[in-house]
Amino acid sequence: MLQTFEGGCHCGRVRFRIQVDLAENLIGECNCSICTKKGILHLPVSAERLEILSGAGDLTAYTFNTGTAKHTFCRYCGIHPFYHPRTDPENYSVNVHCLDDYDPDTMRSQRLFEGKNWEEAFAQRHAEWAAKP
Amino acid sequence: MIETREGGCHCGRVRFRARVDLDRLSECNCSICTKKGILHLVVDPADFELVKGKKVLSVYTFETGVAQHTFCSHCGMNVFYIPRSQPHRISVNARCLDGIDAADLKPKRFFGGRDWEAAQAKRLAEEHLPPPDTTGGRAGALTLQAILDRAPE
Repeated sequence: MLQTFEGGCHCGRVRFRIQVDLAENLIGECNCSICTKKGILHLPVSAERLEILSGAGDLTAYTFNTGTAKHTFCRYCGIHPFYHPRTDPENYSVNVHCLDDYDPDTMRSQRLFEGKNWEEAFAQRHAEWAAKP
Repeated sequence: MIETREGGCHCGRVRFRARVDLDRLSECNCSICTKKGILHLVVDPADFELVKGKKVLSVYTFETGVAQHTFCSHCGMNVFYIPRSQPHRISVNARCLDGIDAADLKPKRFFGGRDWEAAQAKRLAEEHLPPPDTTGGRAGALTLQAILDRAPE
């Protein structure tokens, strides 16, 4: 079931709206170097289902290594509401912690991406996508 | 166990050294700690040293303005900050320690910051502490300034 959620950074400059089906868009964690430090909880959202309501100009993008992922954060409050992940750079990973209706009891991580060993983890994830009917 | 650890942001511009006790790891459910996803190790100023990065830190404040939420302006990591509940001390983000696997970080303590006044009263009662002197609301800013003043350029 497609649901609409809104969320944002802490100072309120960056706001977004997404449409997701939480039965399909699984919430996950990643143990790579940057996700460990960011402490974010990932929710994959396709580009056409995320609307930036305000603050696009207040985002700073940090890149490293391959430069594929765009780690965006609000330059005023330092919060990372969403970003473009290396695994799927055309789309978004939304930080579940930044949803207005974030509920820690029901919105839990359902899978771990072993980003610490990124190539291996990506190959495995890719195989899962390919196996989908 | 108290140990000296180093850590930093992701891009490497901000680095610190601190004496921390991972057995006192805590988490908080207030509006900003939730979004930051940080895990707290609160230390005294004498046990914290900003090794580099003083010029790249941004500071965000809100409401009472006591807490000083610092982050690396280049990569956005929330490495450490000055908390409202203990404005004379530093909260180090355990996620930013070198060699940490987040799966091993198990918070032993919880601060219910969503209801901040009640959480603070509970913490002070449990630790038999008087309320901190906020120096007219400037205690956090003064603590941060002292750290920056003694950090190398």
